Amino acid sequence: METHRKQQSSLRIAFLLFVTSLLLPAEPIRFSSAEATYYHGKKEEFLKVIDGLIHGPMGWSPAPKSYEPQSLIVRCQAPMKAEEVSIELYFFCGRPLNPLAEFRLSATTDPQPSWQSNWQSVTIERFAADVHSLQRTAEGTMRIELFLAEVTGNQADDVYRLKVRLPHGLVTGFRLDAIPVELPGSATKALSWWPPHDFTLTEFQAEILVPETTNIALHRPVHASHDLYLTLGSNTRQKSSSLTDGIAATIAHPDDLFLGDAFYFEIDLGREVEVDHINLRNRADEKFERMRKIKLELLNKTNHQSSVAHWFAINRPDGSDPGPGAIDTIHAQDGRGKAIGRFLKISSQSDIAYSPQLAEVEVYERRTPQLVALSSDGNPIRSRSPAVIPPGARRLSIEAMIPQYGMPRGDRFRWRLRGVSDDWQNSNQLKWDMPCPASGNYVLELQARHSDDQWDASLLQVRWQVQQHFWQDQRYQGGFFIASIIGVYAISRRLIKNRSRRQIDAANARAVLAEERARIARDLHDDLGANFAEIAIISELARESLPENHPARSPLATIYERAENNTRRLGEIVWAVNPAHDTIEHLIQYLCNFAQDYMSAANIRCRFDMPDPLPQETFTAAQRYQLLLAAKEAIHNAVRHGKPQTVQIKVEISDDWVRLIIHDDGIGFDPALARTSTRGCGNMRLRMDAIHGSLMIDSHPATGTTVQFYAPLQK
Amino acid sequence: MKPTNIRVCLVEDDDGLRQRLRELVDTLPGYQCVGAYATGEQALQELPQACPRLLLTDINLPGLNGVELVTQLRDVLRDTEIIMLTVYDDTELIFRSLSAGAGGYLLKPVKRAQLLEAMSDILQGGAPMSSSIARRVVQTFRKPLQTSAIDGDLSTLSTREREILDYLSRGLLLKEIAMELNISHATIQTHIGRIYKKLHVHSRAQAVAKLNQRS
Repeated sequence: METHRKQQSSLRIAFLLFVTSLLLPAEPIRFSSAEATYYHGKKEEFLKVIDGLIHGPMGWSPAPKSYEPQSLIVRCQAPMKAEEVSIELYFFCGRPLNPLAEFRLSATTDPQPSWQSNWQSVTIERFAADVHSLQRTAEGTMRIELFLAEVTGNQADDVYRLKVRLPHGLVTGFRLDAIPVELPGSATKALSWWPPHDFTLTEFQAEILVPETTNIALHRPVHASHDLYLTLGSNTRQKSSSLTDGIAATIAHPDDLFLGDAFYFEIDLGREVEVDHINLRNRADEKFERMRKIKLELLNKTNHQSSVAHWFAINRPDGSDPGPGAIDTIHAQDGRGKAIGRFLKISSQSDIAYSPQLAEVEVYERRTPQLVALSSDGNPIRSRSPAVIPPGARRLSIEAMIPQYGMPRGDRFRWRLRGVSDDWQNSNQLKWDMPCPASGNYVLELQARHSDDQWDASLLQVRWQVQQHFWQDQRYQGGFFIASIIGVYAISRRLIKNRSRRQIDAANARAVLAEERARIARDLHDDLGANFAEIAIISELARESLPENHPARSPLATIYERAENNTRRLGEIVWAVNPAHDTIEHLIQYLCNFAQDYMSAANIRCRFDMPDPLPQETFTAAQRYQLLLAAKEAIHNAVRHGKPQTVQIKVEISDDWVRLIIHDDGIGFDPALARTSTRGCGNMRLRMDAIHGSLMIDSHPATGTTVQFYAPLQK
Repeated sequence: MKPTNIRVCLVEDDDGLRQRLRELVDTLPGYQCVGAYATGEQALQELPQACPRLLLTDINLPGLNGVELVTQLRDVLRDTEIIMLTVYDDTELIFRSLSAGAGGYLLKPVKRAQLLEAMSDILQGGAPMSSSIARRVVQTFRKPLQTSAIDGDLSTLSTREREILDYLSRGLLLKEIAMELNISHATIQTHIGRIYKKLHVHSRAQAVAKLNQRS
């Protein structure tokens, strides 16, 4: 009955532990090879023990040599770093279905595991078999009981699930030793309880367990300075391991009422650690005020080798009590000193009996993330402090790791990029992407989370500098802007200069041309003008020397006139091609001189009405030419056709135009007739068209004829 | 007393033409050509000795041109009347010559009768003024003189003179002006003669003032 109850409770515990183990993350260990002291059948059939398939029918079976110890070695593909490993031994649809009865499990760190290797027992922390009842023996082996088979008479598939702790945190191979058990009612020893007394291990499976908790005190040995409380009326004494068994229900306190601060618990954390915070859980079922003024110390040597604590803190020095089931957290900065040590000593300064009473002590190691890799657009960035990110980067990849023990479920850390935002981003992905921020200086901060939802006090800070392309730098942009303004200014000045130069060149060319023309005209005139003048005077002299009625007088007069005409014409040409004469003043001079000469010979009065003072505006050569000839024609027409007594010539001028009006008081003519003829008015109109001017003719027999020329002035 | 012929000199660079002009002058009764020069420089050298009553000079001479010649002769030959000879009615050039001290101008070639008329006109007072010249004269007298170194009488035009210039600008011939103003042709000529003198004085004073300014 007792065994039954024991089995029941152990079953319950086993199940509980097993269920919690399901929540732990795992990484499979792959095996490259296996070896056995003896195996049945072909090697390929034996190697199915590590083929990754948990079913049979093949695996490791030592038949028919199943009445003597047999062993199996499995070699890892690569050395695996692990603290905790989950090992499953499958006896699943094998032939036969028997699981093995008793075994031992060990591990090695030898690079090439062999029978001669250094094999060390692993600590089997938790164990359960799916069907049978797995127990730990006094000798330290694991063994299933016969119980179930006796009741049902059936043999069953089974899986042995073990949580083992590796001695060195590293494993290269496992060794399973099958130990023969004494069969009931006989002296024979066999490897399995049931006939045919052999077994088939269809799969040896192992996985690295990464514990979720970051409490490094879990399952650590606890030493008590004095005896712990012995429950009245029972033989059960409290165990100091209750403080680190992970079960809040189990408690411990000293047996003696009045030991005071002489009593202490001491948790061996196994190595020197830097502590972030310590949780103390109070007993939950009843209200006892035994968790006041708890003194915590961290030191490196055990107390009996007197040493000074690196750090100490007193929880609730005010003597307050947290209440049943409460958890007090003491941070490293709450105490004095540097919170580093291997041993945590817990004592009480309270004078309440049975102090300190604790249900659980959790120690959380300082956890600081580390930057594993940083890359921009796939290119690794190796610089640090600051990490220099090249210009034009678009996406950044960050990979971090938290080297300390444990991997909490859910958010494992949080990060923020100061310079972009001070908001924290929670994450459990230690590898992530982000868009590259704009150029500038930033600090990436990472903070790890503990499994008790506390953020570690430490921060990883990585300084970043995102470079900008030179053309993104505001100074450069400013400089470039100024430079481009200067550039534009300089270019436009150059263009304007070029244009001015071209214009000047063109003007020069025109001037040179005009000079040429004038020079040619002068040369012509110099050559011919004098000759004609001489001819004229010769003829004049000859004419004067002849008597009045001499017949030769007439032709000589004609000769004079012709020669005189030529001379005048030549002189006129020289005058006309002189570019200095392209002014309105000169035009007026010419017209007046011409008109006076012409009309005095014809005995017609001429009257001038000119602007006073004389204007200084200039014409183009074309304008002067066309206007002069048109005016001359108008004057000719007036004198020839109109037969006037008076001819009036008026010039009006403004900023944009010049108007020339020729009026005669003659008989007039029909404008309609004149318009159609190509000579006379038609010609004048053509001339005015050529200079974008206009012509207006008004004629009436009574009043005479008025010819108006209008020519626009160029600026 | 036998009236002596009026002494005339010529400056004309074309040899043939100079010869013909000399002949033409010699055909005129009462006139005699006493010197004919090909260049202004030669004229400058020899004119002071020849001291003619009339000088006919081409406006366009090589080297020292006609206007320059007139300017330089003005001081040397105060009693010589100068007539410019020009092929064409270049108002500016003619006006400059008149300002420098010439008394009139002729377009060459000239008929004998024209030459005679011109020479007697000038000896009587002044050659006729074209409307363009008249306008230029008016324009010149608008600019105030910087110096008071001249006789007040000669520094400005009289009312009559202004009137005459105005009519001339408007294109009236001398006889028409005579009719309008009811004065004789001769009176007008006298007035024009005075106008020329004042013009000479005015230009010289301006030139001097300019020189003073520069120095």
